[in-house]
Amino acid sequence: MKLNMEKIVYWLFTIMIVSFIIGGIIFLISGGFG
Amino acid sequence: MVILLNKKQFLKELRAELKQLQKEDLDPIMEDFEEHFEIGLSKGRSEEELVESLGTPKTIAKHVKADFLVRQAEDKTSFINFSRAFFAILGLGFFNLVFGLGIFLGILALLFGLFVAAGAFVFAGIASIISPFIEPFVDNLSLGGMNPLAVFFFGIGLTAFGLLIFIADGYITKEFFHMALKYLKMNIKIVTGVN
Repeated sequence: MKLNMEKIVYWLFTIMIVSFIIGGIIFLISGGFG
Repeated sequence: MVILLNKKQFLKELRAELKQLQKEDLDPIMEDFEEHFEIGLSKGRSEEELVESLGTPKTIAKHVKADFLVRQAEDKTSFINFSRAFFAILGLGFFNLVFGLGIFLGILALLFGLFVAAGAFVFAGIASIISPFIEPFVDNLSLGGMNPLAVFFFGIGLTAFGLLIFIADGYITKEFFHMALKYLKMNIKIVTGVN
């Protein structure tokens, strides 16, 4: 099976953006480094 | 003293010089030279005259080998194949390549650095994914006061980011080798005047 690079990049990018946003929100509402 | 070879001697010597090549690669090259002789002879030129216009079998073999190695590197781009082609062309007397070598190695080091950076991001990402789970059980492990869930998600993001850099760097490196090969080919073309 040939890897579909376009799809892999699309998903990696989506995962990266979504997890940074979720992580960022949790980080901010939990009081940052506090 | 210059000894002029006839067609048979010339082809025999050329074949001997190119003995490293596989038969299927060598045969079309030899056929080309035989054709060259046939055309020349049919135009009334002597065998010795044709041999003289071609150059010594040794010089021709060097060009043919360099050309062959460049093609091989194009088919299968790897650092080893590329180096072989590079040194073969350097052997033809293209010392301008020595100057290019500095730039080439510089860019290669940069691309390698990017691979290392990508690896570091992936490593840091995986560490961040794992650390919230093992933090309560390991002494001296601290999340720096950050929410464990936030660290976990940042970890996933970092891993994905590292992998993306890795993929991008792979493409850039491949493209870079193709460009460098084009430059090598240009050098051969200058001498032989053919593709």
